[in-house]
Amino acid sequence: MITIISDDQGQDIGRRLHEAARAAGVPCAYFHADTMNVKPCLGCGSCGGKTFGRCVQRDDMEELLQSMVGGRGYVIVSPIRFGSFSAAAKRVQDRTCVLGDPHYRVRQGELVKGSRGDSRPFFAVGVAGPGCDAQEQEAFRRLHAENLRIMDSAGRTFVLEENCPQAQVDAVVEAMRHG
Amino acid sequence: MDEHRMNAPADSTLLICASPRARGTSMMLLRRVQAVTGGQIVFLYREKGTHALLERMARADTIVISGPCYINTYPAPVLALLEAAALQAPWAGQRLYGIINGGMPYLHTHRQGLESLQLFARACGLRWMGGFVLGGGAMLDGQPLEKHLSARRVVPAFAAFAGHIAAGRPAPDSLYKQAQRLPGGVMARVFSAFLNRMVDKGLRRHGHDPYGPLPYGHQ
Repeated sequence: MITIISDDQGQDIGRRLHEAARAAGVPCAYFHADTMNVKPCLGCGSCGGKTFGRCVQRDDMEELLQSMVGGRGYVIVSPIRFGSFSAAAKRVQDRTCVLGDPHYRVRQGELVKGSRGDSRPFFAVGVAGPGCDAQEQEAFRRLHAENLRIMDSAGRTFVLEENCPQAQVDAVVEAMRHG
Repeated sequence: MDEHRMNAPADSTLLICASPRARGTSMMLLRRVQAVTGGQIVFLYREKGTHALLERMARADTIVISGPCYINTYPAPVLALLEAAALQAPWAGQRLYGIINGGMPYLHTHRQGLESLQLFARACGLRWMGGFVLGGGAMLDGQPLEKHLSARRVVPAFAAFAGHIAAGRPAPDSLYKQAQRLPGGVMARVFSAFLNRMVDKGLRRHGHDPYGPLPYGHQ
């Protein structure tokens, strides 16, 4: 199963992706980042210590984390905001650190972290709205590339315009299908 | 430093601490800036909504945002603040500086946070004046910058950065780029082994198996 986490404020790509995935027979769970009750990460470090692997906050992240751990990968669909994920999408992403491995690894001569358990591919779909120019889109790509690097994870970055052709959405589904 | 303080009226600089931890490294860095520039520190996580903070930002000449790096950029509440601020664009050309600190020693791991601030400033009519990236910042855990592994370089570089803020000048990236020494591949392996022993020791002290299964769902 693939977990789709989408901030649906001002964009319809998440819903289109979900429909396309279902039509292609890819099992999915869909989470609306913008309406979920998810509190910001407290940065308390408990998930890497006292309550290892578990967040001290109790909210809608519990169900999402279950889905992510049980799944084959996840996708974050977000409007591009200043070259980054939106606040709603980032709030969820910040809380996924509970799945991170506190141990260090060395990749290409640099320290990185990783995920506990099986590595889960992480796809990012940045939705470029009006005014989101090439510089902002490139910043989003760089951000996700750094995400994959620090998490020692596989994945791909997609930048789609709001009214993009269906073939571009289908390309994301293909990537999800093949991990 | 006194000259810089005289040049910057105390109420014209707004210092925003964007960490959930009131005594962490982000706040420590902000206090060092405050010592040079004056101005007031606002704790983003304690704000009830963004309305009052946006009003203060609108009245300020200079805004400094200092926060930790969570997965390669600032935490979500910073992005929420920027999104709310964008609704009030165009701004009146306020000077915007950023400080971001994270555990990894590599600047590229944290640099995206500053890029977001820069893009925000460009889109909303503020003046991007530069920022400071502090790798290895989480290890400080709020302790003085003098305890940083690269303190001999980082301390004067950060002082120079604060001086640029006080003088209202752009702060060049070269300040933080030249300040930090990055571990090579061999040192990375040594650090990794050392840090992993510390991690295992800490987790076992809390009664956990460091290599046990995740508590969420089934693997």
